[in-house]
Amino acid sequence: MRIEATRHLCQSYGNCVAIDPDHLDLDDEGLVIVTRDTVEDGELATVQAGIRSCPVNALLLVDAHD
Amino acid sequence: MISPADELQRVVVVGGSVAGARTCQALREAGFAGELVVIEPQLGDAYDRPPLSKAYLKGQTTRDGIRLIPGGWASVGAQVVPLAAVALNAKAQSVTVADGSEVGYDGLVIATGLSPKALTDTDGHAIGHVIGNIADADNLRHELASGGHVVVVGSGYVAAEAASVARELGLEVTVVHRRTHLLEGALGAAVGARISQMHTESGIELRGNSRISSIVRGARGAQLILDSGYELHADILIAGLGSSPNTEWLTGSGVRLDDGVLTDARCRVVGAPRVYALGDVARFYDVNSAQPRRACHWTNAADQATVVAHNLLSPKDPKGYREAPYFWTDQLGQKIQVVGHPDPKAHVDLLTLPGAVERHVAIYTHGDDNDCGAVATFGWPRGMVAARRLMPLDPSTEEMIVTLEDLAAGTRAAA
Repeated sequence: MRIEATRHLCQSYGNCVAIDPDHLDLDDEGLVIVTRDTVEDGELATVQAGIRSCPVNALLLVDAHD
Repeated sequence: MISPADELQRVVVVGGSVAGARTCQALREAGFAGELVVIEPQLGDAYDRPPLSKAYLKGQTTRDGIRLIPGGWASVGAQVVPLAAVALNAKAQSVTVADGSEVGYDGLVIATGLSPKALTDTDGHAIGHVIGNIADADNLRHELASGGHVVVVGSGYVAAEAASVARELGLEVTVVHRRTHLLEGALGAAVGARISQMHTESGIELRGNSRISSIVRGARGAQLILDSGYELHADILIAGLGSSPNTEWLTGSGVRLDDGVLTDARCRVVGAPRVYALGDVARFYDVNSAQPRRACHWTNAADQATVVAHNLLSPKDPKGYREAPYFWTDQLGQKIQVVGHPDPKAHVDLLTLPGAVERHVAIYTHGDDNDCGAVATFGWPRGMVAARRLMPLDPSTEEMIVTLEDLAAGTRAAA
């Protein structure tokens, strides 16, 4: 599994960073960046909660082989 | 995967807005394979409500742009009952819907949200626009397109946001409210004054410290008389008077109601087993303040959804909910973000932090021990991320200011 961000959708709410700071951050413009896109064992629930915390669905979890 | 499939075969979610939608998603993502039923009279796929008084009202986004679940209800395997819930029989574990039929459950989620309060005219009839659902926003958007003088009544978020949108669309706008400043009730006088100034500078007329004596319906809009005797005509009248929790359907059900549905700190409803409540309708036991609290913010609903889904699936190992309070408002092109529950009586430092770009923040000091109780940032999302990261560590006001100063100055590489 891999995390993907659709940056043009990002509205800078920052909820995802609050929940999952190990994978996500905001850059200087305030837009989401994926700092680490791999999901290790035991991280999935937090990653999913971070993705659900985005009001505009700017984050996606995709199959690593896609 | 923890799936007591023999116990939890059917989860019924009443309410299909953010609290209900995110609960459905969280249940599926946690591996729930049973039946999922959503009772929601609003037709179509779930949509997000905060944009209804912001980008959607302004016409900057469409219904597709505010979808809550990218693939719709079908993508989470939810069956929608497009009717209102009218009663709960907690003993029989069933919900009665508007056509009289019963929907049984093994687990129930109450996520019925709020209804906006309306103005009444001198004849006692509801008058003016409210912004509660997408139909309300569509009606108002349509009327704003035909122009005219807009009068907004109220000083809260919806009032301030609707006034902003109308002004940005080029209409003449007057806001009538009882406070001295906009947002004073939520954010205090200092920040309220700053926001009022933004509105005034944009050309919005603010009539604070005013009560409405009468509203007389006209051919279009209404004629208002204020307690000062001042008269004004509204071609378009908008109420931003706050909202009430949608709990009427629970009267007599045994569920404890107190300006919302009472829950414990694990989002479990007091007075009914296997029933959870979350989002704007829920008055949860807040472990931060050791008091019941209703938090009418998007992030609270989404965060509670994770807890509710876990507790439905693992009732013997329930998680507690600790709110990390956060909300935002968009006004006149500026994103104002707030962490914490600002005490309107707090001491507030309104600061301009130097750096490549000057940053504007408000720091709230709560109590008498120099604790930072809340922070508001004006158009600085990265500063808000830093404040949200620090907040759970109970920083002093000084620690918060230093962190934000360093970030603004660029001497702190990452928040």
